[in-house]
Amino acid sequence: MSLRSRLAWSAPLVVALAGACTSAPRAAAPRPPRDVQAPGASLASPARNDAPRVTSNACARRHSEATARPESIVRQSSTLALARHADRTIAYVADADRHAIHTIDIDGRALLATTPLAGAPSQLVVLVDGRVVVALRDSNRVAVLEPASAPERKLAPLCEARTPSEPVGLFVSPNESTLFVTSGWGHALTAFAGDTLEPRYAVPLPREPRAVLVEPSGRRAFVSHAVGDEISVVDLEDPLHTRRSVDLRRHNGEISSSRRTGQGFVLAALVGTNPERVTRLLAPLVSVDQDAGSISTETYGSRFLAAAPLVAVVDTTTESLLGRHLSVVGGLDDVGGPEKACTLPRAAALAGDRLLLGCLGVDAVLELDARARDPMRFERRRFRVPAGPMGVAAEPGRERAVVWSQFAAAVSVLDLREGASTTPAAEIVVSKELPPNLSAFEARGRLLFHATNDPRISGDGRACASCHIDGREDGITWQTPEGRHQTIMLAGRMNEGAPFGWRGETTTLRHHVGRTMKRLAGRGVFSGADSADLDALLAYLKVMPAPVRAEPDEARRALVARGRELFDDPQQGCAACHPGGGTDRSAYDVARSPFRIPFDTPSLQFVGGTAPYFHDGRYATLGDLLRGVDGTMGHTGSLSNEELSALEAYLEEL
Amino acid sequence: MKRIPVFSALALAFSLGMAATPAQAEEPPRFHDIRLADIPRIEAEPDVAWADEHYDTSGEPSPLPDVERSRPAVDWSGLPRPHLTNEKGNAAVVRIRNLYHPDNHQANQWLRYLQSDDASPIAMACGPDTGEPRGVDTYLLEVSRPEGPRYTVVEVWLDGKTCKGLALRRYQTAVQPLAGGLAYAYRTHCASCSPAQSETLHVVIPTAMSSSATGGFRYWTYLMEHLELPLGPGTSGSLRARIEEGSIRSWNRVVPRPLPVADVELRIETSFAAGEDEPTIVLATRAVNILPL
Repeated sequence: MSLRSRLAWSAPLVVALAGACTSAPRAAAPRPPRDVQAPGASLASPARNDAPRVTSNACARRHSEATARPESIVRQSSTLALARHADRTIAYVADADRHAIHTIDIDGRALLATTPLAGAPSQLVVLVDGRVVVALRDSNRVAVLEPASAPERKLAPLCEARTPSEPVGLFVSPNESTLFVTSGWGHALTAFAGDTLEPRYAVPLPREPRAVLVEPSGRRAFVSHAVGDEISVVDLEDPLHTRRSVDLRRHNGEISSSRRTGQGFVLAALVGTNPERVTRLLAPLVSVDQDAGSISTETYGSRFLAAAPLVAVVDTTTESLLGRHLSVVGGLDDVGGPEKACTLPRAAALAGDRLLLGCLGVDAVLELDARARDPMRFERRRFRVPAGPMGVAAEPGRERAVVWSQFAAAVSVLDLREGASTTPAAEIVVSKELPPNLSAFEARGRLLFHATNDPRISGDGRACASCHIDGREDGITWQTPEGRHQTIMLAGRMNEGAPFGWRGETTTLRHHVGRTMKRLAGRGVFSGADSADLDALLAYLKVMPAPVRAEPDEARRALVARGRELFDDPQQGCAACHPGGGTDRSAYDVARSPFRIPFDTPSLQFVGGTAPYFHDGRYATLGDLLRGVDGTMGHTGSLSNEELSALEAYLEEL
Repeated sequence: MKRIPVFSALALAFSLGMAATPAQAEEPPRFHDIRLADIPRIEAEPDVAWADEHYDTSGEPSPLPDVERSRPAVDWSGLPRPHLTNEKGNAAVVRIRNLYHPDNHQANQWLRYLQSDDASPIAMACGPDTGEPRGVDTYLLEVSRPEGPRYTVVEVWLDGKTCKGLALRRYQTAVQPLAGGLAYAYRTHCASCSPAQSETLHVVIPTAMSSSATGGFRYWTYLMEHLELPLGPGTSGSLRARIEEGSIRSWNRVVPRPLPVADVELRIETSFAAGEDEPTIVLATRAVNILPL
């Protein structure tokens, strides 16, 4: 990206974010969580009763009383962070379902307090002085909160700032001068001033960034991506913040392999003898064979996973894979078979030379040897934890780890001592009630959506969430019996009605989901119980959270408005098939193949975040698509570059 | 990283002296530590740079580079000869290189190996009418010596017509038993090689039913395997071998302390990030079930 285009991209964003920093946080969640108060805990005493202290900025602490503070500094965010208060370990948990931060006494096995938030928290991190920074995924903000002197009391909001769409990962620089935020849907890394949350700069990234990790020297930031085949490396010393990437497409030494990677939700770093330098980056991933979209992958002599878990080890000095490629030769047996394979890694923490990896689907925390070439193949042991492990934090000095299981709303404590039991030493359920926005049926559907090794769903252990990452899509064009087809985004689009499939081949969602399971060599649905599960899964598909986009600034709004005019203009003809950005429920031979195959008109909702484009992924960007389909999908050939940019902007806002 | 984790777990079988049975559940690995410095290290020359063109002007194969032709004559004393069989109770392997692809393991497959095993004594013919020039390498593992286990490697270019050979490469080194004697290891250092190829881990193990090595080389016979994994900066390698109890039984004929007879999986991974001081070796073993063929 040129300097000019980079500045053109980031400057408006920073301007838009500037001024958004405010000391007046938004109202708390409209529906406060139920049954989250520990016996004896007083939630009635707001933290603002603490004696205020005159401060120079809104984000600074307002009282000087002792609060829970981190014992060992963890600068990278998770859904769970630890601090010490007196002789107790306190866990702060970001509960996305209940829009709250829970304060939990790990030693006392008790929920101490629940702080309602203005949105769904994705991750949080504890600063040295005890303040808590949290990313609010669906309100596109980061907020700073202050603990009271007594952990039984709620956190008090201090300040907040707007971010690009969907803030997820946080990282606090060593001197806490900078807060880095990744935005998933907004595909950006944004740097904020650590003391004021004033935005400093934003760096555009490829799709779906998640975890961010800045090396101790502060020179580079590494960012994982839930979708795509790379780890971004952002040069923080460069005034332009140049982005490089580590190519993860090399599998078994072949760069032209059909294998792709995804599910990059977490990162961990190993530091060598020089404390300023991270020598290895550990990136739990899944390697997928895009040619195995529809076939049984059991082959003679060995069973291979279409989605094989691994931990990519990046040599940070050379910014390349250690060993130059990822090895997925071992097949199923190396990773414990489909019943044990960690194909939905969602949480990670280092405990000495051990990597603790939280895995959805198998609902386990794996203890891996972090020094291995592929730690996934050096599993020391695994801990069974409640459903939905989304966060893990280690207490190396105490030889224990704490895990947050979102689906079960439970915190579990793991004993990491050699020979200790692999069942949690303690479990603390923060709520036995369903989340406010999820029925029991839908909650069951969510479990099924993330269920790996369900023979009804697939023959090789793949879960719905394997391809529909976070309910979206994996950016992969799979080989299917009908040709190469892209995964379709689900979240936010499942209420648009029939038909379903690229060819519009099914008229009900139930039929289509069952058909997909069959294609993945799943057993399908036969019994009454299966049928109820399928209904639950369908119910969840319709409520899974869609991306919430940040408000565009004025210039952007004008561009989008112009794009909308062009979209609706009969001369372009976009709206004829995509009325209002939706679908006319008809099929057309847009590919102009010799076989004259009609493709269903897909809805364009959220199309801006689902690159690549076309049923076979032939267009890398929306711009490529608009320029490439002239005459077959509308008429864009006569549009100027400015008009195409406006049209593209409109599509991105759909 | 001064210490190297060695997950030596002949878990159930070896620590308790029990044999794995088909009904036995597969065991998780256990962990031990060893020191990198415990693995002997010797200087070694770079591999022979076999000539790409395999035929000279008269049409005769001639892959040996001219620079190698001044090597001394090989001294066969103390080495296993192709027609001898296990006379000293040591594990020995003779490997014949493919004339046309001397550096290509895949091209040679199992035909390039002979072994001095009782079960299959093999004589290698040479003489005025039968011989061709060929590469003949010998590997001799002597683990019961009072002075400690030793390994000898000699790479020879044999003139089949005269039955004389040139010793292209020869070294002898102490070897470190790993995982209770399931493997023996040493390191070679090559000062004139590229940094990535400057250091190599050599591991000698019983022949595995199935094994795969990434980033290194693997020579195998019916008696033992010799594997090489990179230890140079910026490299990594991995090995996974499933060793049947039959191979352990054969191994027990040459090792000083018999190992419990069981199906075993051995994994070794090497890695050395460019910013680190020294390579890391991770080794794991566990009792497993290997289905009979």
